[in-house]
Amino acid sequence: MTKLSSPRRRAAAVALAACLALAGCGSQLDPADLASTSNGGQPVVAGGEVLAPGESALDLGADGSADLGAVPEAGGEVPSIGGGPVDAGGSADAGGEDPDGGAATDPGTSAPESQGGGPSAASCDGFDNDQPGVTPTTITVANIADISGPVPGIFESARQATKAYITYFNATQKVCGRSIKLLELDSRADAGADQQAYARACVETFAAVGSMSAFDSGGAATAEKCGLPDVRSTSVNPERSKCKTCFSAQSLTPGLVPDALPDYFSSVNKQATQNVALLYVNAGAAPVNAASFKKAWETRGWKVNYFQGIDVAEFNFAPYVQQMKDRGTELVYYVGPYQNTIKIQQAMKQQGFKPDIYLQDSTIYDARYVEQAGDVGEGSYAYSSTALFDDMSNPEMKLYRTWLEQVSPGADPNFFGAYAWSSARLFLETAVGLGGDLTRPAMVARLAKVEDWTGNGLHGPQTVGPKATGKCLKIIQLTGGSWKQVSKGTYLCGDLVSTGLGD
Amino acid sequence: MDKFLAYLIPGIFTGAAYAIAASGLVLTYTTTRVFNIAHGAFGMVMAFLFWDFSQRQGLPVWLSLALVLFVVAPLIGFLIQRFVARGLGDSPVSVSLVVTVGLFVGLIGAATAIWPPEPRFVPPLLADETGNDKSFGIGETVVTAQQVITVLASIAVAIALYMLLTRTRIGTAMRASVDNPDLLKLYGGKPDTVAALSWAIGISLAALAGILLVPVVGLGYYELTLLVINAYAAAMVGRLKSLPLTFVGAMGLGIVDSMALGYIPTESVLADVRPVVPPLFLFAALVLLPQAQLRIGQVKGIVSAPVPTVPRMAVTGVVFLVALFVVISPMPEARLLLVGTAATYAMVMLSLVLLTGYGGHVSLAQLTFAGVGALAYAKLDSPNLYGLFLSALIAVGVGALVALPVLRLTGLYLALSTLAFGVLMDKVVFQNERAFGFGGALEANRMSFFGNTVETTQSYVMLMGVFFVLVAMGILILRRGVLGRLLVAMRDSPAACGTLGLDLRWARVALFGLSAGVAGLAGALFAGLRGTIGAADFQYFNSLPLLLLAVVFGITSVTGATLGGIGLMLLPVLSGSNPVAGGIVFLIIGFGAVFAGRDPNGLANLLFRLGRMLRARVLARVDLNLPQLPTRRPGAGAAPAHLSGTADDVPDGSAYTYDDTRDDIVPVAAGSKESR
Repeated sequence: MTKLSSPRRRAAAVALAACLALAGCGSQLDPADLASTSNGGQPVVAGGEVLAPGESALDLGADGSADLGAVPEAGGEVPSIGGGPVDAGGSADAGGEDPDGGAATDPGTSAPESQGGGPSAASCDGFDNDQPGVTPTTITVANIADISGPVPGIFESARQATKAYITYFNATQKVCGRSIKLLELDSRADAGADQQAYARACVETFAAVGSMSAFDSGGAATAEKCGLPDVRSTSVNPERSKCKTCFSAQSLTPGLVPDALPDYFSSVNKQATQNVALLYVNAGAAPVNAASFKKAWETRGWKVNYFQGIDVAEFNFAPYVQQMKDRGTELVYYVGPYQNTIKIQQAMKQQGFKPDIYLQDSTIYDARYVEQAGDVGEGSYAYSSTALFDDMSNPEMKLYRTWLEQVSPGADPNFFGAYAWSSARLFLETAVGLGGDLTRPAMVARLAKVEDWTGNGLHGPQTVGPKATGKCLKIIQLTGGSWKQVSKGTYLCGDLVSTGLGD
Repeated sequence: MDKFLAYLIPGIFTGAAYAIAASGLVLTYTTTRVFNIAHGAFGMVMAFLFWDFSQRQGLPVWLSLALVLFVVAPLIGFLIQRFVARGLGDSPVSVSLVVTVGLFVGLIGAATAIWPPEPRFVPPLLADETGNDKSFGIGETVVTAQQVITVLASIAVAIALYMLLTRTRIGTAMRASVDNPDLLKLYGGKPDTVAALSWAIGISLAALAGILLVPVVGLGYYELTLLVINAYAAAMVGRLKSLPLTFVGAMGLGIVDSMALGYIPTESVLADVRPVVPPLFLFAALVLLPQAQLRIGQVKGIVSAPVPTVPRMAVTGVVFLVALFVVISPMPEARLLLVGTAATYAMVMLSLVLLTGYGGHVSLAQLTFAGVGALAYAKLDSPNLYGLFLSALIAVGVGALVALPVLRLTGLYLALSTLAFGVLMDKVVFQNERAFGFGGALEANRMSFFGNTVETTQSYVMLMGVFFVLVAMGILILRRGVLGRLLVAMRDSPAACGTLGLDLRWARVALFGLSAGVAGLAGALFAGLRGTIGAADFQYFNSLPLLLLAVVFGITSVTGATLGGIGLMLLPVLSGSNPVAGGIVFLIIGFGAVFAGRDPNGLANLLFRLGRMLRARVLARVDLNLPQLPTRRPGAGAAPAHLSGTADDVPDGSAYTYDDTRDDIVPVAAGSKESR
């Protein structure tokens, strides 16, 4: 595979180099300039040297890996966001109030020291170079995401965000004098391809970071067998959750459902929650998630009167809408891709059916949904465990968006991208924290202890190590073509309802 | 009543869309005897073109519509008939199906290369400025303008086609062309012109269906392409020749589908049936078809690839295994997994060598049988020889069960019944949580022999190689024996076999079972290789490229299956590196198949010819340096032409057919019409 694809990558590297030389990629600022901007105007210092203006920190390797942001020297002062020392996450003001006026939760305060106080770089004594993906100057990590396949580019945002964070990191820091190289692998929305990619990552890289695949069961056993630390954006299939070396920045267990969502809507519109339609696409993990939601929400007092799977190739949604009309549905929840959401909402509009609440997960918290849904999406509710993408008062969101624009001009942020960014931060901060003790088992052991990870305030607290679903979320609504938070506080935090499904 | 109307109206809309698509399908089949599997893919490409004209280039909608329907689509239809479909109707069904599957793959590739992936939206034809469709109410039901246009368009198409076929000279010629193109020619008619016109109209109808459906379905490479598979059911109701019955079938399908959703309670066991109404409809339509008549007086045969002697195949097998060992020894795990995947595909293709290459029956669900084997292996949880063979045996049973209800069918109808089976298995069994569980994946352990597990991937791939060689040898030995000759005779002349008292139907059930067993064995081995398997590994539409590559590389030989397996494994790997480049790869393979697929011996045949040529030259040189030995008997090189001859018998190994009016063999393109 390498031999087949490397000429193309070489060609891409040459084209990119030419593009940079000719300033053909107009909107791309130099990473060094960007880093200095991101750091409160201070010049970025890495190893005591300032990156020269125009010096490219993006170095695509000819072997398919990308040396993202090689910085001249290491060992100097670590730059920070806003001019202070690097806040390694966990210290975000993520506290919020529940709608009942309960005590606000500040997830950040319970972060372990390795994140909460920022990783004071550990001693690099005894660093073992004889590890997969490690050289005296670089550490190679893999990103394995669905790029090609039936829905091309479905999780490209995870790839872009990972690349963005690593570029940012390389422009500002090093891990014991080593910059980070990224090996980009495509899981092609295929479990077999996922397994092949992980087999390669086991040999060629130290860890996998920011990965995101619809059929991520394929490589789970492979990663565990070789001890590969896998810090994903989000885990999808139960097999991945069971993998002992696999973690995700968005921690999820299908059998554990946060009660903050049903409790919020019970408090604001009790009547609607007594007549709920729960629809789901009949593919992948959607059926198990839908079944788990149903059970959990009914435990919290909701009544799901219409529970229906919809074939992935369905195009005529009018009969489903009629079913909801017949049952007097007042709250509609759908588990599936945003493209199908638009079709359902169009059918609802055509049939003159307007429930009190249309609700979905963060899948529709996406610029493409807003653009394509147009006015049929108006008023839709979603829930999200991340900060709002246009909330530039959140420094980490600002940092993510700035570097995303730098690395992938024009790319929109999204949910999976935000968690991929967070996972890259988690991995690299842990690596810095381990210093000379950095090994695969040490990384896994450290990750297994991570709780209340907020990605430096990018999202609500996630119990990464224990892999339990996050308890905190915010309710947002699409009004006037943009998403606005409607729940109080930063996040609503509650408990988890155990459904026993999908474990 | 309001509720009834509420489900009836969407059903009529769906039926109308199916009717337009199915009409085009029927028209091209009746006049050229080519069942265009790529009909939906043409609709998809035309919908993309419509988007390009109306949205990207900003042309008025009416002008875009006219350009696509009356200029581009007919032109493409004409070109396809001239350069692709001409003479295809007389080829074996495996050839004509594969050529259109090649078009199917090629068109998806072309669309991907021309219009790279990005969100695209096609508004309804009468949409307002915000993209919303006009609508009005009938009782409590709201009907959109797009739905009304679709229904009116389907009625207009039905009337126009009826008038064309019954009230015009060209229509009469079209019907005459169906019955006997040669006779039409003798009367001064032009069958080729008639066929070209049919294709032009057929592609225009595909375009119309695509454009009417795209605001509802969405503009993607697969949605529209696969949706038309539902229209096959409607076409079958019309027995691929009656347009009125096709229209009735399409409306019936749309309405039944919609009513099933409205009236089957979601908690009922029957709720699982609702998503599979179209394939069930297709299966029922096929089963209820009348008995196919055997054509007499016409014998068709193809010269198969060389069948080596047992010692030679044993030597070749050992050499293959040694070569495999040498090749995989230095390979990392990731590549070993690819080799194992290729071995799986190759073994599934071996099952097609048996079924299609020797037996002449086409299956469009061979990966589904592999899925059955994999599922059985994982569920049995006996990772040993016993579990492996039991899994294969279960696949044998399922294969035989598929063949039983369609005992009377052959050719295209048999192929389509396997497609319906594949869809049914995918949606009812594989996607059911009782099969692969919630999350859609099952754990499968690697095999063990007498308590020793084949742990390393390298050893496991070698094991797969051994099984591949054993299965290949088994198939070749079968081909050399009485059973093999019987299979080939049945393929070449069912009428002659029937006359001799052979019961073709039960032989076919056995053949299907055996072929499914080989595919099931491959699936079980694949499950062990992967460790976890899921429903997504055996999606029904992936059987189409499998058949495509099997034929392109040679569906009559083990060499073809080996090369085909490697090719199918590489296809997504190559396309994954770059979507546009991937589209071009699909394009090349698809359209390459259109031309290469006409020879069932495929590209492997080129290798055989090269081998013979080299052997002849080398032997000639060796002969020159050897003392003169007694010469062989005169004429030994000119092989006798007999029905079950092999390429060894005929020097160039190409496809030949018998004509009962001649004593010699003639190329297959000049052969007779395919019987059902």
